[in-house]
Amino acid sequence: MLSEPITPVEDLLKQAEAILIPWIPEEAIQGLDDGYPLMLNYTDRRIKVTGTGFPDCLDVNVSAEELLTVIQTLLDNDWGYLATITGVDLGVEAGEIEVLYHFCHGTAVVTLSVKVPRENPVVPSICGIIPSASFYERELLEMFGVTITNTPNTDHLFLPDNWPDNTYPLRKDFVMHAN
Amino acid sequence: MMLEMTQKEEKFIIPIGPQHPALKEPGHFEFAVDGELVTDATVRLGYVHRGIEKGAEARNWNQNLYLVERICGICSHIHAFTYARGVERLAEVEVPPRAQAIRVLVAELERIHSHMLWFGVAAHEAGFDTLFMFSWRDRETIMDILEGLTGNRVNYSANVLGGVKFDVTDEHRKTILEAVDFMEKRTKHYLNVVTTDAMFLQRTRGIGVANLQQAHRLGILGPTARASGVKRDVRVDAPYSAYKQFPIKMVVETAGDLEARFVVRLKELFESYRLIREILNNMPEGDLQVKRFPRRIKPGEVISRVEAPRGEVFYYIRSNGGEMPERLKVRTPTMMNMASVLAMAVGHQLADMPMLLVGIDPCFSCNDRGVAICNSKGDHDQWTWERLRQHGIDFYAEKV
Repeated sequence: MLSEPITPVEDLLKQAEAILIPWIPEEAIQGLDDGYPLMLNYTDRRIKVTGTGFPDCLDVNVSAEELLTVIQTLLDNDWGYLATITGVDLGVEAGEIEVLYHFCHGTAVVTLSVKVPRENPVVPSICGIIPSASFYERELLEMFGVTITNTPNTDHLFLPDNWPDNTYPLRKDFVMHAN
Repeated sequence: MMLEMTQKEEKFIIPIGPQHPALKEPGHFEFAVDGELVTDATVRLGYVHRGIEKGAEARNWNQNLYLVERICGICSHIHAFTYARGVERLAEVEVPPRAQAIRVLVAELERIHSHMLWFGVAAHEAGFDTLFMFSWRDRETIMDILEGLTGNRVNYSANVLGGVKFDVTDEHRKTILEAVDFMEKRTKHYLNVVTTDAMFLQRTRGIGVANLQQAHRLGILGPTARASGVKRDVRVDAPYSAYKQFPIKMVVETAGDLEARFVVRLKELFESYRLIREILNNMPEGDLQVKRFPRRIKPGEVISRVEAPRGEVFYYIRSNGGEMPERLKVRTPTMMNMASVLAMAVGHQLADMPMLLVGIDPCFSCNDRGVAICNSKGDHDQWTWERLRQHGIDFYAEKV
């Protein structure tokens, strides 16, 4: 039986911020003493505008091109593990699909957010660096129709084999039939 | 049959499922074999995909509490707990301490009955039916308590948004403490059996080994990961709810084989017993629910993580300010652990497959059991799961 002291969430997030500093926009850093250690002001530290600012979360917007570099940087620094990949359809009007990569480390959660156009959503596969992500990518592909370049397996995971093409159930314009 | 399997240039595929006893969701496994050795494994899921994530977007915050509870029949409370915790955080509602203690109490009772259920089924797959019957008899003690507390054996509906539905009385307290004493005595006995019984160890020791590095690479979660030395338990890493006041110790083994998975789960039960006693003896006073819970929840996102009996449950909830969630994402531990079975299967005997599958503790809700064996020429031989299980038992019986 083990009982090890818990690393305070502030320290974990400081580490994450230091690792992710190249991808944190300057306006979020401005006004801080020397900019390091960061500890962006908690009330507005969430860089995403929709965030509610939970003190154990750090959200960083990343472009699809940079995604692999960012994840590799997190892994190289031994920060956390991939908890899951979440897809969110922001709707026909917004015209975007948001792909969230959640990394957990102790109490802290870092979420990398990649926004891709709804008409042609493409993200790179992260299976090259995190092999266990294959299931998550298959789910993202069949539920949201996000093309994942170089993913090892594109078969259906949850949906039936005879599921119609180009029909993605978790997109907002997919309407469930009333029974 | 076996001779045909070794013919050159022909990969033998053994499909197992989709009706299968060893999975929460019925799954379809295909094992490629070379003689008795498994050389490749794939899985197909989704036979009970019910579109709950989509359905949640068309139901209000309160209705979803009951929807998510039906994701799993074994760890139903955990799903409602995770969801409620996330929504309460999003709504900035503080749950009274007594309600939090009761939630954790039910969660630990659920862990006990879940582990005992798994223990019995695992014993059955190993051909040790006496152990199966004893452990399931003992499990009824906990089921009776849960029924006494909540009115239901499964899907207890203990939670409401902002608290719990029922109180724990002095009478409950006495019954639970007695039951925990009994269970502790039994668990000591079971731990002794799984670590000393030669027949049982033949099926578990050194089988299905995943070392620390592999466990990390495969993303294994929960007790299966802790059996490989991964120090990861949400209750310890990120204490939530009443685990802050009532901390729990992490149980870690390093062998990474099936035996270690038995030992971790059984040892974990002693921690659950200790925690239940501690909660019952130090139950905070106060309300069971908040007075009012908002119908609409302000826009935002929240992540809620809870340690279920099988590992970390991860919820991502997004609100657009309305009465219904914009997105509800659920990641259950079995999803990752199932992928690990595929990797661990390679190089093992076909006879080890039943034990390997139960080793990750998937749920056993299916009733139809079938294994079909066919070769590339299209010849068929139908195997029932029972026959595969018997094959495993006979295979090892001959070795004695």
